[in-house]
Amino acid sequence: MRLVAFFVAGMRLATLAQMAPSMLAAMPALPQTEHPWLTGATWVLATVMLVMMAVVTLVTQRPPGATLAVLDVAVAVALLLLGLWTVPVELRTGSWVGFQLGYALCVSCSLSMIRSRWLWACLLGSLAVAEAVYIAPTVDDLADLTDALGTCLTLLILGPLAWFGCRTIVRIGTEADEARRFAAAAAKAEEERRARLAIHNGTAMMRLLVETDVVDGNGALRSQAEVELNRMRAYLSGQTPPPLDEATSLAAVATALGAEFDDLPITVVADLAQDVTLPRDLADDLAAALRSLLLNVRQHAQATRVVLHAAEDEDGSGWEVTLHDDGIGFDTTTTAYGVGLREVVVEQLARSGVEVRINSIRDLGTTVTLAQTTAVEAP
Amino acid sequence: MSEVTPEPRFSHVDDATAMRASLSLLLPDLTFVSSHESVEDLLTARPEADVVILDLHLANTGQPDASQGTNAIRRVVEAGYRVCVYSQEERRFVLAACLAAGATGVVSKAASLAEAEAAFRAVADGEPVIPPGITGLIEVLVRRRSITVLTPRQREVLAHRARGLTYAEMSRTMYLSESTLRGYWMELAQLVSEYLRETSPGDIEHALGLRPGDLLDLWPG
Repeated sequence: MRLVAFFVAGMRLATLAQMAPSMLAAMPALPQTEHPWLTGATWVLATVMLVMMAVVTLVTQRPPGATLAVLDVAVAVALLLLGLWTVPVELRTGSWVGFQLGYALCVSCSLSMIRSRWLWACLLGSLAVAEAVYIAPTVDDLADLTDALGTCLTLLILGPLAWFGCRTIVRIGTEADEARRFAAAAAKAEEERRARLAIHNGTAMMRLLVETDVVDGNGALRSQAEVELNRMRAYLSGQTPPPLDEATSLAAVATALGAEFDDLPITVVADLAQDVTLPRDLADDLAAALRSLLLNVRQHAQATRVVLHAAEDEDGSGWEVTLHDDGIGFDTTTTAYGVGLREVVVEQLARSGVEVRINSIRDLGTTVTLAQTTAVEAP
Repeated sequence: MSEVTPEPRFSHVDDATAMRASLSLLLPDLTFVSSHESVEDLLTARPEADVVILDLHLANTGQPDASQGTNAIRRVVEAGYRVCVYSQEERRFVLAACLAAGATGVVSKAASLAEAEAAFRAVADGEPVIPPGITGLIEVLVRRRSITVLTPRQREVLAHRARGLTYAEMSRTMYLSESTLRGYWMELAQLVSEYLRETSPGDIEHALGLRPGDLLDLWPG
C-alpha cells in the first residue's frame, strides 16, 4: 500500500514538474489571453490539487480513497471543460500550456484504491469523455482524428494498466502480510508446543517429588527427574540434545520405560517387538509419550496391575503398543484431555503417523493403544 | 433345587513358618485344611484338599533335601492335586516351566491379597491363572507357529490377556459373555499346557529364539 502511495505521489510531483516551465511562461502572458482570470485560476487549481494530493498520500502513506478520487476526477473533468475557453485550440495537444491532458492522465493513474469496478469505470469514462470534448475542436481531418484517438487511448490504456498494476501490488502485499502473520502465529504455536513438551513431564515429576513423602528420594523418580531436567535445560538454552543412538528397537524402548517405573506393579511384554526398529526421533517421542501415560497411571489410576505390551503386527506392516491398567478409569466422552495426553501423546505421535486410541471403563481400567501402520508395498 | 457348589479346600506348602502361619489368617474366606513345610510332608499327610498352594523354593538348612521347583510341582500333581504356584520368583521362563510341570496357576507373592484370593479360587475352579509375562511367551509361540491349534477366537482372547485385559473388559469389546471368554481361555490354556509338557526344551528354545541349553536347567526333566 505504501508503495502505491509513493507511486501516486510521484506521478503528481512529476506532473507538477512537467507543468512548471510552461506555467512560468504562461503566467506573464496571462493579460494577453482571452480569459486571464479563468486561465490563472485553472493553473492555480491544478497546482493546488497536485500538491494537496501528493501531500495527502505521502502523509497517510495510502493512495487517495474513493471520496478523494471522485473529487480528483471532478476537478480534472472541470479543468478539461474549462480548457475549452482557457487553452487555444492549437496548444491543446503537444504542449504543456495545455496541461489538461497530462493532468487527466496523471489522475487516471491514481484511481488504484477504488475497489468498485463500476465506480472506477465511470470515473475513467468521465475523464475520457471530457478529454474527447476537450480535444474535439482540434480535429480537422483524418490525421487529426487519429491523433485525437491516440490521445484518448493513452488514457484508456494507461489508466487500467496502472489500476491493475497497483491492485496486483496491493494484493501481493496483502497476501505477504497474511502469510507473515500466519507464519508468526504458527511459529508462536510451535514454540508454545515445544515449551509444553519440554516442561510437561518435568512438571508432573516435580509434583510427584513434592507429594511423595520420601526424604532420601525415590531412585526411579530421581532418575526420571534427571532426564526431564536435562530436557528442560536443553529447551531453555535453545539447544537440541544430540541423538544418543541412530536407532533403537521398540522392545528396548518398552523395557526401558518399564524399568523407569518399576515402583508400579508393571509387567512389560515386548517379546514380539524385538525386530521392530525405530528411528531415534520416534523412539524419543514414544518414550516421552509412554512416560507421560505412566505418570498419569502413577498419579491417578490407583492400579494394582499395569501391563505394557509391544508387538509387531503379524503381517509386518506396523507395530502396536498398549498400556493397560486396572485402575479407576475415566469417562473418555466427558473428560477433557490434559496437556500431557493431548500434546505429548496424541499430537506429538501423530506427527510420526502414530495413531492413539484411548478406551477407559469406570472401575475396570484404561487401555491406551499406540499404533503405527506403514504402507505395505504391493508384490 | 439347585446344587450347592462345595467350598474349595486349600492346602499350603511353604518353608517359611511365618507364611504358613499367616496365609490362612490373611485370607479368612478361604478354607485351609492344612499347611506343610515340604512336599514330602504334604504327601505323607495326604490332606483332603482340592488345591495345593505351593512355594517354589522349599529347600533350606533345616530341610536341604526337600523337593522344590518343577520337581515338587510334578510330585504334587501326580498325587492328584491341582497346584497353584505362589512364589516371589519372577523369571518368566521359570514360571513357564512351572506350567510345563503341570501347575494350573502361577501367582506372585507381590500380588494383593484380593488378587491372590481370586487367583486361588480360579485355580480351584480349574481355570488356568497365567501372568501376562508368560502369556507374552505364549503369544510368541503362537506367532512362530509352534502352537497351531488355536481358533481365531482363542487367539483373540490370548492377545487381550497378554495385554492385561480382564474378562469384564474383553466382554465389552468382543460382545461375548465373561463365562464364554473364560471357556475360551481354559481351552487355550489346556492346549498350551499340553504343548509345554509334550515339547522338548530344545524345541521351545528354538521357537522362542533362545540359545541351546537356556531352558535345560529350568525345564522339568
